[in-house]
Amino acid sequence: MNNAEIIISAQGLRKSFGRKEVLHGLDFEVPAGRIYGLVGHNGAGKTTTLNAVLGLTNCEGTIRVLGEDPFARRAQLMENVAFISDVASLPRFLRVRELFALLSNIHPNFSQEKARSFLEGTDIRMDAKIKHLSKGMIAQLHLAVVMAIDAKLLVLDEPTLGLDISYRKRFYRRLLEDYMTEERTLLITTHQVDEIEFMLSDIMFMRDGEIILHMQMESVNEKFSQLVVTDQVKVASARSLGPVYEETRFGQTVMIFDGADRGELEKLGQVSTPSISDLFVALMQRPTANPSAA
Amino acid sequence: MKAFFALVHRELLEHRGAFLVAPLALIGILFTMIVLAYVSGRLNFELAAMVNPPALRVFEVGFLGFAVAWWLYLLGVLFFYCADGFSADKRNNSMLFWKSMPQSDFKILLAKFGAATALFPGLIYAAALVCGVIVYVLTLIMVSVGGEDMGTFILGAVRAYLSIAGGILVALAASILWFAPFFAWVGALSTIVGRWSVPLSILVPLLAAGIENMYVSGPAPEGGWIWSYLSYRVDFPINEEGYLRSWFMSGERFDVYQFTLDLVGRTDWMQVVLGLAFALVAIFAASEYRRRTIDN
Repeated sequence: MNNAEIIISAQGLRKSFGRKEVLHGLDFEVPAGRIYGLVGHNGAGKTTTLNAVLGLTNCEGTIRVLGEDPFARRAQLMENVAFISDVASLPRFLRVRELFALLSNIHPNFSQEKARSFLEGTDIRMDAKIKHLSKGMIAQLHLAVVMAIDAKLLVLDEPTLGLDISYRKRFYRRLLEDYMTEERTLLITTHQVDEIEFMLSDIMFMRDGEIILHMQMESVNEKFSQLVVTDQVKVASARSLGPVYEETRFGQTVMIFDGADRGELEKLGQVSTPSISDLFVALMQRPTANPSAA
Repeated sequence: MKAFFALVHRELLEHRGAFLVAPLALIGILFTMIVLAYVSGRLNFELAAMVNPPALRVFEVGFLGFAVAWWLYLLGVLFFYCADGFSADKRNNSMLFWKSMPQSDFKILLAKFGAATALFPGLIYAAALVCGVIVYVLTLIMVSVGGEDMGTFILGAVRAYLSIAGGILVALAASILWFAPFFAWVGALSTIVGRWSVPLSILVPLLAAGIENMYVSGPAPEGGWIWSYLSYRVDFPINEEGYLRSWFMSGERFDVYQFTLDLVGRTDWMQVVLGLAFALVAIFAASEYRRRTIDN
């Protein structure tokens, strides 16, 4: 992987609010053409990390986005970076047509024709005032706006917060079908990780300002296994293999293993790849999980 | 520049109520009142105890009177615009949307300042010109009722209209230049404290003047240096001894050339330059604050 392919590069990224350090020296790289999921509890440092990537906050350490210092050159960087940080952040005093006309002059990579085409088939009228749109319609409009920007990096911070499930599904499907190409990189945070799992190429888990897992989804499938033990006699044998997490569901014991031999596990019960949410719950409880892998 | 003008246009879209809708509504009300007064025969052309004043004089005084009213409206509304508009993105929950655009915080704040000092005064100037037309129509009625020579009036009124329109433009530009640092100060404060800038923009200088009077001794003008300077800067240099007074007392036609010469001569241009420099520094400082703020 050469330098030209790296979209985001962070080294020793630290951020403090007063005396409290919220990012503890993050090191990571995001190559081009990937879809990254950044997952963590509330207060884990996800939004602060994204703010550092977007040049919205100054941090210690080094961070480069498309080769630029994002805090020093945010305005220039935004020509090639689009982001949705909050579905309610569109200017409510504008009409849709006014918004598109303004953006045509403000953003050199915004295409009004594309934005209009993305709204076809929706209930959003061009002369509607944004403040009169429903929350779901505003999310659709915001997505149409960012998809109409020819950007290399798209950052989504909880873009579907507060939307019902049909809007959320439609949002992600639209994003995948109409926007993502090999040249574009997507970095997304959400608490509804199960809904974006199908589209992710890479995953990063954050806990207390540190990255505790950073790997490709294919590696997750190879590295982690979920074992469901129905025969209680075999539970002790399974425990002896060192699960990273264990819980009981409806009388069955569910364990998650890190790097265990699947052949061995299959003798003890039903083996599968854990979902991202199961893995998240499991890994949030142990000190570290492969922080160096990428 | 295309993006800058679009950002200025955004300000108009956001604040069209104060600078477009309200002036149009006020003009509409004025027009309706005049029509009703005419229809009901209640138009009264007496002016300053003159039972039959010359129509041109009525026109000039009426037009200038409306211009002064619009000027006061502009200064008041600009104060509240700066106190509100510079923090509107934060209040409207749209700060992060505008930060996702490839425009610097300095350019965004400069566009707000540009709207305050060029676009909005331009709109109010247009409103004053429309009022001039209304006064013109009104005095035309007066002439037809009074039996004066219509041709002489029409020609004289057109000349007077152009002359006064030029005078309003000069006065408006000079006053905006003179008060620009105050508007920038209010806007910069608003970027930091939001609508609290309304009281703070006045309270902070008063507090500074009070502290000077309490703790700084030595030779100083009455009220202290700060108070003295603020009083000087609040006083726009069209005062009672100027051209306007002599024109009003003399009964001569308004002369835009003489008015401009008088105003230019009375204006402290060094203070104007210093004020504009202060305005730029205040807006830059506010933009640096905004650059570091991610409140949505």
